[in-house]
Parts: sequence; C-alpha cells; structure tokens
Amino acid sequence: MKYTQEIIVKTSLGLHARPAMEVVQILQRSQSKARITYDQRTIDAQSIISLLSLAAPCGAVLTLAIEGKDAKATLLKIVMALSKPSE
Amino acid sequence: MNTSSLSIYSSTEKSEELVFQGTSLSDGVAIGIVFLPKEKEEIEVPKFAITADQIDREIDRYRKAVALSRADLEHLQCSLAGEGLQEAVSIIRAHLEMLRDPVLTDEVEGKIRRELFNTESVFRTTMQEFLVQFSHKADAFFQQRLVDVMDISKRVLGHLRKDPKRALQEAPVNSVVVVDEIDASMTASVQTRCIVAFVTARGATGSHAALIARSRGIPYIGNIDIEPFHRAKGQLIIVDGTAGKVILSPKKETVIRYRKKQYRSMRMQEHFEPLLGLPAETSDGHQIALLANVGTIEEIAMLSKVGAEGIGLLRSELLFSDLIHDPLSEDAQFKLFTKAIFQLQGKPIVIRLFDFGGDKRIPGETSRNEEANPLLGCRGVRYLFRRPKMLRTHLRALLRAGVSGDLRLLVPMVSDLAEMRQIREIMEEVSEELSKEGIPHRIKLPIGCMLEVPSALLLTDALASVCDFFSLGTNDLTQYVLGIDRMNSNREVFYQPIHPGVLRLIRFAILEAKRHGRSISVCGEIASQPLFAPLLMGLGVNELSIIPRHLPMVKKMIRGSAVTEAVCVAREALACKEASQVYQLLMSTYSGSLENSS
Repeated sequence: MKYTQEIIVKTSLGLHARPAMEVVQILQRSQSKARITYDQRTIDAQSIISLLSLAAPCGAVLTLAIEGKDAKATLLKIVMALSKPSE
Repeated sequence: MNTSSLSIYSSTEKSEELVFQGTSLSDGVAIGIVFLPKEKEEIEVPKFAITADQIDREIDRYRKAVALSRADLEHLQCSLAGEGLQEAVSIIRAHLEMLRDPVLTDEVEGKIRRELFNTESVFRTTMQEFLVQFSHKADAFFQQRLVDVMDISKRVLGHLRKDPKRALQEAPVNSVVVVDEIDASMTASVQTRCIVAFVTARGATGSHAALIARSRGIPYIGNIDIEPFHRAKGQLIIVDGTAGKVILSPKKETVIRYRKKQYRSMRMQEHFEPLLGLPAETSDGHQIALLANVGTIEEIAMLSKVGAEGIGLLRSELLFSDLIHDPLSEDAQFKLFTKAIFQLQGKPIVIRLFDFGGDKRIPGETSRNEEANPLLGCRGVRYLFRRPKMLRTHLRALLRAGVSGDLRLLVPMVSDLAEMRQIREIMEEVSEELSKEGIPHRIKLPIGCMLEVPSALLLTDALASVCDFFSLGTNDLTQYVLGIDRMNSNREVFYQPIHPGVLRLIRFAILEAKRHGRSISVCGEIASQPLFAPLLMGLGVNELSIIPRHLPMVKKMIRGSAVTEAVCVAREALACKEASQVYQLLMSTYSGSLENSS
C-alpha cells in the first residue's frame, strides 16, 4: 500500500524533539517506510536528526509519502502525533 | 587555584564590584566562585586515510563509541528519573534516539567503506552536513536543536578519543560555571553540590540546557560578555537568575543582601503545600523521619517551608565558603553554629565536623603538597588530626554552641575505631579546658560516625561501642566500594549508588547498627531521590536526610508506598546482579508514583 498525504503540523512548537521522536517510534513499530517533503527537501522520516533538520514550525504543511503493509494505520498515527497542540 | 582564592579576601575589600546584565534563562540566586572550564579545545579530530582491510576495525570503533555514548545517556536518564525530572528524561530520550538514527549510522558506515577515512573524521563530516541543513533556517527555536545535535556529536567524538574527559567534572564545590555555551548533557550531569549556577555568552530560553537547569533549580544567565571573567578565576560571584544580573567580586553588603534574597527566592512549588502538615508515613502506618542536608544559614531558615523535622547533615565547612567568616576563628564558628542551632528551635541538628581536604579546601589555604588522589587522601577526620589546633578550636566552638539546642556531631571519613576514640578524648579535654576557663558549654555531645569508607561499614558492630549514632554517606561510599573516583569522566557509567555491591554492604551496616541499638540514617544523594526512597526504607532505614528542595517529593513517594512492599522490593534488589536490574525493578514498581510526585 502506498499513500501520499499533506499533513499540517499543529504541535505548538512545531516539529521539535518530542513529536519527532514520536514519529520515529511509530515508524519503528510499523512495517512501513516514510519520506517527508518540506520546503523543497525530502528526508527519511525514520531519521530523527533529518526530521529536526526540517525545522518545520507550527502550521507548516508537510508532504508525507508512506509505503508498506500497514501504511494507512501508520499514516493515521503520524497525523495524530503531529496534531496535539499542547506538545 | 589557591593563590587566586587568597586574593579573594583582598578583592572583596578593595576592588570595585562589576555588574553585568544578561538574559535570565533559569530563576534563582546563587553565590559562588567563578569556575572556567578548560576551553574544550574544539575537540581535535585527526583525519587520515585507511586501507580496505582496516574498514571493519574502524566501523567497530564507531559502534563501540556509540554504545558507550548510549550507556552514558542511559545512566544519566536513570539518575534524572531518580530525581523525578521527567522533562529532562524525555530530552535524554531524544538524544538516545539520535544515536540510533538509521540515516546517521548508514551514512557514517557507508562513508567509511567508500571514502576510506578514519571513523572520527567521517563522523565529524557527517554531523557537519546535518548541521549545515539546520543552520540556514532562521528560526531561533530550531537553532537550539542544533545544540542537541552537537551535544551528541561531542559525546561520540569524546568516546573515540583515548582519554575522554569532560570539563565540568573538575569543578570544585560552589562553582559558578562561566563558559561560552552549555549543552543539555552538561546541565543534566552536574552535581548540584558542586555547581550552583551557569553564566554563558550564548544560550536561549528554548534550549534544552535551560530547561534542565530550570527543572533542577540551577540559576542560569545567558548573553553575557564573558571576556572579563577570564581573569576572574576563583573570584566571588553572584548570579541573580531572576533579574538576569551577574555581579563579579561583590562588596560584603551586596553579598549579605543577596543571601537574604536567595532565601526568599526558595519557594516551594504550590502543589506540595498540602503535604506540609502531614507526616512522612507509609500507607501501612510506618513513620520515616525526614531531615534536611544544608550548607548555609539561609537554607536553614527555609526548612519549615518544606516540612523538615530537623537537620540530618549540616556541612559545617560550607558555612564558611562565603569568604566572609573565618573558619579558623573560634568566635566566628561559635556565632554561626549558634545561629544555626537557634533557628531549629529545639529540633535536632547534626553538624558534621569540618570536612576539608579532598575537593574542598579552606579558603585562602595554599596546598602544602598536592596529593595524587585527594579523594583518597588527607580529608575529613584525617585532615583535622593533622591540624590539632584547628580541631580543638572547632570542638570548643561546637561545645559552646551546643548549649543552644539539640546538637549532635558527626565525624566524617572514619575508617577505624581509633579515630572515633581519639575524637572523644580530645572532646573531653576541650570540655575540661572550657570548664577551667569558666566558659559555658555542653559537657558532652552525642557523637555519630559517618559510614562512608567500606572498612567502617564492615566494622559497624565495633564502632557502635564508641559512637552514639550512624549516618550513611552514600556518595563517597559508592566511589570507594566501586573503586571509581566520583569526579571521573566515566562516572556516569560506573558510579551507581544502587549497585547491588553497594546495597549489600549498606544492608550489612544497617543490620549491625540496629543489632547494637544505634540509629542509622542516610544522608547521601541517594536519599534525595524519590525513586530510591522505598528501597532505603525496605532496607531498614527509618531516617533520611535530604536536599531541602527534594523533601516534599520524597515525602509524597513515602506516603504513596507501603513498607511491606518495600521490604520485598529491597529483598529482590539485594538479589540483583547488576545496577541496571535494580533500576528496572524500581522503575517497574514505583514509576507510577514518580509521575505523580514530579
């Protein structure tokens, strides 16, 4: 299964250490691989350093391309992780 | 260091005080001595070509350095969790995640294979490539994440060197660290006893270093021009974290004003207030006495705010670290001790005899002979025996002050029976001397023995005949039992107060003390960590002496646990083979209560 979807970062400090860590951990537990494109750069979403280097602030629109057996479920979890405003 | 500390006396008298304005990154007031960590000579990274048959060796070196870095961080995480600092724990978790980053690993290992260069140069280039991606982003908040990446980078490079050494571990007691920039692992790994504040040229509120400093209550000021401080090593300095002000070589009046301010700024978190009037009683009705570890008169004044039942450890030498009072004068000592005892209003106060030597020197004293191993050298009671005049003056002041309340004395660094006997004899002589001179004093004071040298613990039964109580000093004990210098750069890996070896020895001493009807308390840092409180309780300790700020958290932990369960947990801990197993055992049993208490 393969999906591409736009995600808006809603965590109030943007894609900082804690949500980035969550994304990485979600992917570690899944059987899917994901890439994220933002500001004309595409990175491996399994890499926390790459995620942080995007420096995506709150409100940033990321393009997530995900592929794998559980792609859809994983995609949902990532969207949830990036939607918690209190983080 | 000694020549510069000599000059402090003169500088406080004559030279102008200098005030610097910076940005407040963590609140609170600290008064200490300027400490300049050795400019970490921008870790030199050798670069050389390797041959194809060396590839595996280089990759192996990389993996080992990462594994060692992980071990550092895991231990750091353990001690932060022990202190109940959940936020700091999650930062370290992010660092651990970075070390596991698959892109990083692939890049480094791939490059070693393709480009045939040594590990450290390849690793450094890879990290620099990541940094370039960060640094063209303008957002100040994300710029701070760059510091985290560099932090990790330094850690791994440190382990690739033959002699890894971290700068802050050399800081003496009461240091104010003045440096270009600090990172999260620096703030997380400092011992609050040694480092009282940070002053940096850079730094931002959003940095992880600032966050950890705030959660540990260490004042921190950024954006200060640190150039003038380079000539101020060892000078007195005041850090007003609330106002963002730094005062170098302050006048006496300024120091006194800030001492008062320091006391006022020690407020307790509101959600602990309901706990104040409640006893430290377990859910099954077992009472634990919670006392405080203090080093300044101002800290004593705040004890009623945290609900301490007395003082379990007054580090007498620290009362004199403000360089105003002379530790060699009987009257100065008498006044300060009396002031301290009065504030207790009849509650017990344990004053530890001067514990100079090791990492603590008398202000202004030039060292006679540098010891190769000061922590194994002439310190504590040994130091006092070598200075008979000073010891007598000290005991005179204490016996005189003893009339004001429930004073007890504690002898540090006892390794043998003769030392306790000798202290008793000298105390009797001094008491007679005072009687002859007609000076009011207590004829006799209860004398306790600090259990921190393994031989003393093994002799607990014998020592019980020459002392009135025991106090377990787990900080030094841990280093002596495990054979690791607690200032060592690898401390995080090996220095573990919950090591089963340490626990078994502690257990032995507790049983022996009780068998001989002597009370035994714990005053090491282990007692201040909420996670470890039930373990100590289960080992049979009824009295803990704690950093005042941690007292409410520990109380909450005790109130949430049962002694029956704690005894089972302690029994299991004693059967563990490694410190990490003990840690996991405690986490699995008590992490729930920990979340509630932080």
